[in-house]
Amino acid sequence: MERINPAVKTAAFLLLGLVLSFNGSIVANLLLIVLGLLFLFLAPGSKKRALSIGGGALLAALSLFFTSLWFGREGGGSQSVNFAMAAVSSGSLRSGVLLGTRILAFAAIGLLFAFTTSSDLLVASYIQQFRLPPRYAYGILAAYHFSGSLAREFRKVRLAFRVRGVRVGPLSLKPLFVMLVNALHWSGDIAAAMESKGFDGSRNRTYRLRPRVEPRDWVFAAGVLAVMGAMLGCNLLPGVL
Amino acid sequence: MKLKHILFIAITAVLFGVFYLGTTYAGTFLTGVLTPMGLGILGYEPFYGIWFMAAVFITYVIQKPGVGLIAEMLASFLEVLMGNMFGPIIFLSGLIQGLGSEVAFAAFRYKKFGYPQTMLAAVGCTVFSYIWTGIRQGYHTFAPGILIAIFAIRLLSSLLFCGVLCKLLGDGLAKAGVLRGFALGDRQKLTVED
Repeated sequence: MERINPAVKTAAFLLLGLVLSFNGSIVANLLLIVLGLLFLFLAPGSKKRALSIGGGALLAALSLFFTSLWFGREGGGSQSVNFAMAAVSSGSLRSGVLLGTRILAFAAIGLLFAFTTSSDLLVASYIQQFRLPPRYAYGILAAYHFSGSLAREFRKVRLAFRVRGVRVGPLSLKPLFVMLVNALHWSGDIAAAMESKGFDGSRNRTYRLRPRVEPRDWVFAAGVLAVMGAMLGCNLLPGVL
Repeated sequence: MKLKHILFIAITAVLFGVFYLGTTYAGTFLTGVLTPMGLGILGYEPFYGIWFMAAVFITYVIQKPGVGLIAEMLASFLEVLMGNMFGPIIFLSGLIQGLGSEVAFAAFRYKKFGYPQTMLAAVGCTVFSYIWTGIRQGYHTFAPGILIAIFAIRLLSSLLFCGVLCKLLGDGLAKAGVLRGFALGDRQKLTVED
């Protein structure tokens, strides 16, 4: 999965996400969760961070489930069922499970993408396959690699305010304002540096990373299409699934 | 667009992301507390406006058609790079939120930039994103009361963060004289010289 062309993977997962958004089948959601997790654990590298992100997804799924349960539209589903000693309509229970598993399916394919895609290859592939103008791509890449320093600077600015006895809450505007002034200076400086090295897209550069669309990418695309087909098929299943 | 502007947009998007990071913890906590009551869906709503800030702020500062859309697309690109939980579908969310903001400024033909425009942009982002999350999270299965609550809290958040804060931040920067080369700063200078 980590050897698939990032542009092809983006397009495939975007379509998959779109199908998922309109999907009404619980089985189809489960299919995506299983497939996503399977390929995630086959991928090399540590997945510790996936656990904490997955925890957030689980919470979001639970919250949607309970909202459906207690605040479902009246009259959805005919008979009431007992859940946690409370009577809820079967329709609410079904839509709760559907929405909860949908969030988990989103997270499963999102995590799979995040953990099998290198950011440098992703940007290179967007330039070469999606024809993204290089100045946008390199600008984004610069900001991305700058984000660590940015977070550090933000902490420093907040500390500087506190040293001066100015109270700064989590949503205070003062540190944000100082950071925006800094951002203006930085963007001017980085732009000058990038222009001097020819990263402004005015010349044709050669590329160190050359992601190509290879036969295995077509196999992957066909696989994703098959999954989408299976999901659509699931929507024709009779009953509540 | 100039490289300097692209970089400013991208850095601002990261900055709002960092600014927003603290609130995600609050949102997660709130979601956790509210979940058993079925109100967990409201947990992140008070902070929704922060997601739209890039579009409204950048349009207010650069004042050109399409920059809000570009800002949201760059912001979602950054989120994908940083490994967002939802993956590439974020591009679609960025596109929809950016369009919500653009529609509001386009209604004034990109000629007027003030509170009415930033407030309308805040409403635009709310309405557009509401339709999109409505599809993804199956709002049609929920009771009207909770749907109104979601919309109202998101709208208030958006009006505060985009309608008011973005304007205040932009005006502050212009007043500080650091917005040379940006439409908002240059316009401010003209009025001073008059």
